[in-house]
Amino acid sequence: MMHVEQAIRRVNRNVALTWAIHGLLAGAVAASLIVGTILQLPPILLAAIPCILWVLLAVNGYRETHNAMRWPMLIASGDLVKAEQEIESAIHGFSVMRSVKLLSLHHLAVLRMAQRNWTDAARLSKAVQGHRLGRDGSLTRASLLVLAASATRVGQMRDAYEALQCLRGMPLTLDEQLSLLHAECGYLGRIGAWEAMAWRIEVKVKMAELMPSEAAAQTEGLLALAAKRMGQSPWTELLKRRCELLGDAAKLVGEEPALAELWPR
Amino acid sequence: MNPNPQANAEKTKVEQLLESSKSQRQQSLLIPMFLLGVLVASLFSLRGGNPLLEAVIPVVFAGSIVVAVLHAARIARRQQKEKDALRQIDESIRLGDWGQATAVVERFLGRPVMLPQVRVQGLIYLGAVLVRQGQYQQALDLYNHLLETVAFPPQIAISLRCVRIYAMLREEHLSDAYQAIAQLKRDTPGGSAMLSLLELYRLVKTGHPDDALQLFGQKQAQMAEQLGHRSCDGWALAAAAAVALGREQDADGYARNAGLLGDVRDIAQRFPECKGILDRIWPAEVQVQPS
Repeated sequence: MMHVEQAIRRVNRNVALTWAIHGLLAGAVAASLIVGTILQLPPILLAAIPCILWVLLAVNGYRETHNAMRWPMLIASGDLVKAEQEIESAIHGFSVMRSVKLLSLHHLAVLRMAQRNWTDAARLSKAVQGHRLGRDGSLTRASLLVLAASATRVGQMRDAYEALQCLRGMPLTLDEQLSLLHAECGYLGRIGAWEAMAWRIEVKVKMAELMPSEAAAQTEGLLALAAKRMGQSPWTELLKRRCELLGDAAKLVGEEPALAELWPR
Repeated sequence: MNPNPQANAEKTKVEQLLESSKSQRQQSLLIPMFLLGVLVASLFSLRGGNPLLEAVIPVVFAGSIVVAVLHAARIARRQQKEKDALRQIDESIRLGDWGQATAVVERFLGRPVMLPQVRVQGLIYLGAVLVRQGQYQQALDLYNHLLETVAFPPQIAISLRCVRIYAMLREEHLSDAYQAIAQLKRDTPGGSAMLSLLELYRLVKTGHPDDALQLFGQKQAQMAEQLGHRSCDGWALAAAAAVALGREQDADGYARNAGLLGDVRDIAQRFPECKGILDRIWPAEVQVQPS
């Protein structure tokens, strides 16, 4: 298993190296043109060498990005060992595209979440947030979602709050909205903001129906607790029953100790 | 020839969409164009001697780079638009907005799609739309075509085969469905909740309610774990099986659970065999959720 600090250090070093290589290649193109003119050598031919090298490195980076698309599927299917191996080899390998490295670090955080290692997941996603991320913002949003969920689990409430605040101001896809709702319920449950959690409960329940089983049960369990605290007993009964149909209540309480109030021993 | 003119028209539409969405592979020109520009410029540069050529070469070189970059940017923009459309279809389907999903998927496949995997994903969504519209034979043809022509990752292939089996069952191709289920069981030794659900549906359709309830008892936990709220389908089918056995009290309980987990109208649309018992427990005027 790859050590988190080591992975972060490696990626930081590689990102710095990437900038240096881009600078070096740009310098090589300029130098080729100048040196070629001075020495009466064909400058275009000389400049073509770093240009072609650049293209080849970019194509290799594109292939690595394409490989990275497989990791979410490996993690979702529970093949965590293989996912870890592939992510580790991407972190260890060299790439001229910094996005590949940042993507590797983010997927390592997702993997640690799947392994229930919340501390490492929070550290990794904070490290990803420390970099300037892509223009389309998808990595920013994905990483903030991991940070919000994992920081809540390890009690780093300030980090979780900031991540949630950032996400609330962003346009999100349906999957991201579902992850945000799941993370937000966890956060509000930890700080005891039951009124905020029960606000527009009917919309939240509808959204929870679209979540995978485990996340749906956790979200609906917390919503049931919020409804109970707010005196909305019909919702409490409905959501409690749904949780029982989706899985084992004892397991759910193990994951979210606050839910013991719904299923006392 | 299908005697149903609407089905024929739909089939033509599927064929049209299959044809119109074929990729033109424009992006493959990008790198050769760039390299050609570099090569031509370099060769002329090596020969030297002609001042006009020497003046033109840097322009050709720079021009080829500018064209390549602009072309790449245009392709990237179009690919992003295609991915956005795909996401829109996916979200419409998951939110049950079938009108929107149908419109977007037809528009999306009505013109060439650049990336083959994006096109295939679009065709998978088209299959889902056809199933929802009750065009099961067209969906079957489409899924057969996809499974024969595309090398899918195993998990995706299994999902497609499951949808194909569902379409077979709805089209009353019960013997084909039986064989397809048996084959899929052999190919997935661990089994899957979706496969169990299809087996359950087959048993209900072929009048084996005892076996259906036995299977549901064995697989209910797996269905809940893997299907989440969609395990409501399993409860509804179990209710239909219990009705067939005259176990009315059990049937009521199962139907109640189905309605707690999912929208009973949607369940009845997917499994018309369950409509009677669902209507009895969840009549239209009763709200499934508290107000």
